[in-house]
Amino acid sequence: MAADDHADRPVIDPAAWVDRHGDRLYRYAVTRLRSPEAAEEVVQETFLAALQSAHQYAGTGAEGAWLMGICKRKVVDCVRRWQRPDAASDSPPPADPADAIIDGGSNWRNDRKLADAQPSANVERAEFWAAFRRCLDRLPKRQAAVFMLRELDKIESDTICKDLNISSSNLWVLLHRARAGLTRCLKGFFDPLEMPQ
Amino acid sequence: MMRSCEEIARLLSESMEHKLTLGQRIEVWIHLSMCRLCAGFARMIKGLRQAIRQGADGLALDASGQPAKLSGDARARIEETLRRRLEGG
Repeated sequence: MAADDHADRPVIDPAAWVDRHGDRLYRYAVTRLRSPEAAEEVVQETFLAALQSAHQYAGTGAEGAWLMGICKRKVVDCVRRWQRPDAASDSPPPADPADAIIDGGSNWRNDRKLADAQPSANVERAEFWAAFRRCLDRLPKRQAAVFMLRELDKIESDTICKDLNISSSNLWVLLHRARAGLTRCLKGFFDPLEMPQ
Repeated sequence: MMRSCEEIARLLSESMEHKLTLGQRIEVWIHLSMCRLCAGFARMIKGLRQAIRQGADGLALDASGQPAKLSGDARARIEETLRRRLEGG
């Protein structure tokens, strides 16, 4: 993108970035990372990276979209950093209490709440999302973030594996634990299939 | 040999990531026809995906239910960092 000869190069205005784009980028990051501190860090990294590559900004899209593209990469970078300290847990252990879809061992077969997931026409949407956010925050942070990248952003499994440098079986274990944890946490609260739109 | 519910649940979750083998699909199908618990789990994980993909707004709220925003402190810190970087060239 050697666009330096363009007289009508698009103008970017870094001084106004925090005001114009800060909250939107933060919201994107915190929804996935669940940690305000990590999300603030990502927003700052996004702006700094944008400053460095400002000359590459082709101006083909809006400034906001360009920044969001950088932000998405920074979120993935953040999740990748999270796996370093506990890289040992990356090899999928054969069994883990977290894999159980119901708490406890003996009485799970009798757990009616999950089996009879209640229709939730009467459950307020806001109430559901509040519970969902609480449940998500109880998961290990990397598990929650990977789950969000997969389910919310619909990033394909293969892409996530490549971006995070993990094997597919590791990804499947992470996603399964997140799903098992969330359904355990939300069981009896509602049947998401019946969730009001 | 029959698989445990834990194994079936793992396969159900995996089936959302890749296509199971024919043998696995048959095992899951037979198990689900007999096990309400796993059938419930199957419904919930699919429902979760559907709910999340339709309800991103509900996820972008803070603990008090307001749209998440940069805190005043964070905003000031980031602005200061940017300003210094801009001045430093």
